[in-house]
Amino acid sequence: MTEQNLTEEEVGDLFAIAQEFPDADEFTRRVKHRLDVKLWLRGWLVAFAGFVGGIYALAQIVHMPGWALSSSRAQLVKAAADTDHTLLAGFKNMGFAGQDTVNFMSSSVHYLSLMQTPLFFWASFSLCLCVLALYYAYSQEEAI
Amino acid sequence: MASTSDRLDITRTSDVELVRMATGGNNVAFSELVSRHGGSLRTHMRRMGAQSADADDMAQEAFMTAYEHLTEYRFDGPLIGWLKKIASRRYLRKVRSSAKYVLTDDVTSFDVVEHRDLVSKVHNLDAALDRLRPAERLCVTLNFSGELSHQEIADELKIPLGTVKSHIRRGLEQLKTILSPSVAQAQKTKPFLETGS
Repeated sequence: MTEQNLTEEEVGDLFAIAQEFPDADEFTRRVKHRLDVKLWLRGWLVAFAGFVGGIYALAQIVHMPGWALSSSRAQLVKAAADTDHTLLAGFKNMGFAGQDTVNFMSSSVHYLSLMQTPLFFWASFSLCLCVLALYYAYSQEEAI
Repeated sequence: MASTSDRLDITRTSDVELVRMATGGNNVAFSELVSRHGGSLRTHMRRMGAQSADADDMAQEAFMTAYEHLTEYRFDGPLIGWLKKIASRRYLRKVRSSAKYVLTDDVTSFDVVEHRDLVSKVHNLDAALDRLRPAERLCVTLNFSGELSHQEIADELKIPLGTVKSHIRRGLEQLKTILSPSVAQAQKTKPFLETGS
């Protein structure tokens, strides 16, 4: 029995033989799909991070003036009452509409103010550190 | 979407060239690498002891990790060897964290006589590997299929070098005994051999 034993080289040759899998194409498709999803998610994550970072940077350098919400209703009433100056009232209406839009946008000034506080800075700084730590842990997991 | 002629051309392209193309962002080239080496990698994972679903999952993850690190491939050996190392390390991390009993230093002698009765029933390597102890199977597969040296296996498994050598020696002896009568038949029915490039 012993004289029929394989040599190490023959065992190595057997290890070089791969099994055949009927779902080989499906396996390839799954890998490609997972890779596509991963790359897509990464792309969007980078875009989102860039957007958030851009907003944050903008908040640090742009100081919005302290606009107050105007009493648009009162101004509309005033324009309507100015019957002798219809054309002027029309222009005023357009002006009020524009100002309302600006006022609506100016409501974000509270958020911008918040983003310029030390609390927000340290909160976002801590968040960044957490993201870096997670990235490091992930890279260790993915290390080859 | 690649045309049929492109597809035909890419199947004739070497691994080295495909890696270069994939590094440049050509996903079709990487898909060809997956198609070319998927079977070998899945087989390797199963021979290490991973269950089918886990083996396929880890093989997929190994390919994705390889894609991320393609620029680190030094072309200093067959690509499949590099892929097997990536997959092996993933599997070993899992083994270390969830199945430590696999790596226990069990050095009790193996009853070869008992398994000689199985010779007529075992006709291929994979069935023979199933007869080995998990640690022996792991070490033998890492050595013969993963092409890791004894020292590398000891480092990866974090067990003494002498224990690795014992596992491999005993595992190999059992494989030789179990497989001997079927080797001629196996040689005749080889599905295909790895080209390595």
